[in-house]
Amino acid sequence: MGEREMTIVLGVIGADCHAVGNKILDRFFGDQGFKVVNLGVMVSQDEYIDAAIETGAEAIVVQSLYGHGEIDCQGFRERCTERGLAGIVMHVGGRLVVGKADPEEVRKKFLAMGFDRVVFPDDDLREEVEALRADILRRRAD
Amino acid sequence: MKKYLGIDIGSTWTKGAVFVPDAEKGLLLEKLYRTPTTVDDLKRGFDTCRDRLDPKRECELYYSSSAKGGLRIAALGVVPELTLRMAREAACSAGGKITSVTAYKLCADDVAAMLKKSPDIVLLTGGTDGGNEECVRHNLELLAKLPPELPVIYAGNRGLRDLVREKLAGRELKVVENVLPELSRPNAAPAREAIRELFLERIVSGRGLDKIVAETGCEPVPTPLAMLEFLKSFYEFTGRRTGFAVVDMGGATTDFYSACQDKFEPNVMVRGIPEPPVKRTVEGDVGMRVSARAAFDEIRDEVERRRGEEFVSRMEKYIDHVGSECDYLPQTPEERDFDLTLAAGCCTVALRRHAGRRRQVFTTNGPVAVQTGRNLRHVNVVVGSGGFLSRMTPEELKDMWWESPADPECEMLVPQHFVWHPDAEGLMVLASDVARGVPEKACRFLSDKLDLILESANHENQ
Repeated sequence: MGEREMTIVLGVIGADCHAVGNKILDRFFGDQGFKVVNLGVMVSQDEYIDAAIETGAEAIVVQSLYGHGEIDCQGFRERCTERGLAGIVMHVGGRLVVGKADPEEVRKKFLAMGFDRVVFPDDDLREEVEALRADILRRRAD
Repeated sequence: MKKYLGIDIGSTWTKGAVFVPDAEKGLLLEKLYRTPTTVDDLKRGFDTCRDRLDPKRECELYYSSSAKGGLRIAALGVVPELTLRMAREAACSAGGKITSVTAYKLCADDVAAMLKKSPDIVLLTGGTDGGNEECVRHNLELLAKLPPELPVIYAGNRGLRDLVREKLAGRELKVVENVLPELSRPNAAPAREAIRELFLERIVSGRGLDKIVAETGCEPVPTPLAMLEFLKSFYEFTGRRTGFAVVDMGGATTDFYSACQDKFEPNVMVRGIPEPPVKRTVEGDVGMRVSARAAFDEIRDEVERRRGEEFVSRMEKYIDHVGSECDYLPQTPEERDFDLTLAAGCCTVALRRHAGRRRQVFTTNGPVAVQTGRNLRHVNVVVGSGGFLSRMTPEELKDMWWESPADPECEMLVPQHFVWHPDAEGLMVLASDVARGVPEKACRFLSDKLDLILESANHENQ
């Protein structure tokens, strides 16, 4: 296709050690043609940012499975901007809050925090791949 | 019978030793000699030492030099914890001395500060392969204006090699593999080799070393590199069973080497770039004389807690004195006490900077320890080397590490049960010279020296 490879940084944020979903997404995104820099579990905001700067990644994909995603992700977009990654594509997905919150409310909350897309456990991952690609291409065009 | 001669040209002493092969112990020390280093022409001191130890030129010769304290290296990288950390590691493991570290994009002030420290080499890294290009592209513009005699080693993003060659054309440039091609794949060896080659070209060509090379047909290696390589072979020789460390403390710097392997522990999450089995760090601001002031500033509060305000104010004067008069030796018991306190402080600082950390994190699966850096808890033997430590008794050495203040949030991964072993005759470095020719024999020699110590370490642990 002649298109430049898309590098993404992947990891499970905060004090969350759910490793299985992380391995699945690593494999899945890799199979879909992304270059995946997988940081594994228990990743801090700065670790995602460090890795993104060093590897020249175009997107950060944040996983959170243990319900504390909201608190872990607060200020993440601002931190990226502060550290020179203004406008980097950021997706977040998983079980982001505790209990049965309305997904639309959760989506709004994370979009307001600066994420470009919010993904839930029942969503189709193929759609996520398309959306991620589209967001990166849009960012390149900016 | 073939004999082996190891000579080390240090900044103060030129030391040499003759070893003879031994079926059981690998090597036996036959003769030992030292003479002051002749700084204006290193060959004179070298010849004196060689004439004394091997007048008939029968021995196989291996020698090292820490001339000028090794190559002075300015390290550049992108992220401090990633490529810049690897640049530091490559520089330290090559036996170099880091004069400055700069992350991200350089500005004119950074370049001026870097040049002020008069580096011998600029080590330029940044970006994994296929990764960040922006910083190196930016930095190249500034580096192109550097004095042409300052060589540059490029060990960054592979995709920029052609651009680097183009922008830095006309100066000495070595382009080698990336120090961090991928985040999980550290690769310090090619940059280390490039530094070693420059050491030979740069350091050897001055002050008589070239004459030694011409006469002996044998090239020197930087002293810390010889040591690191020897410790690597020794660690493999022991089957990676015994963790050990060497503290080499001098007037200006304190080198810390460790050989250890992390054992798998449940509920411990290791973060960051994987640690090599053998590692050297150099603390340029921690030493007994030239760096006494900087070292004391760092330990002052701790000394005050241990010894009181009055002791500190008296020690303060002593530090000023020895900082300006570098060959001063303590004359009174109190001055000896000051020196011992300073030495303990230097060792402690070097250890704390070398060691990794663990902090407790509570997760939904219970508490988990997040570890960064090097785990020295399984280090059983610590060798005290360099002028000051090697003359101490094992008893005195025991006070050379201060317990770290207990911090429930963050645990320092320092050795738990270990014995100190003074490198009494300064044999570590001479054995490491000879190890370049007969590694297995040299390992057996060291093993024989340390075995006794290991036995007593095991005994103490029981």
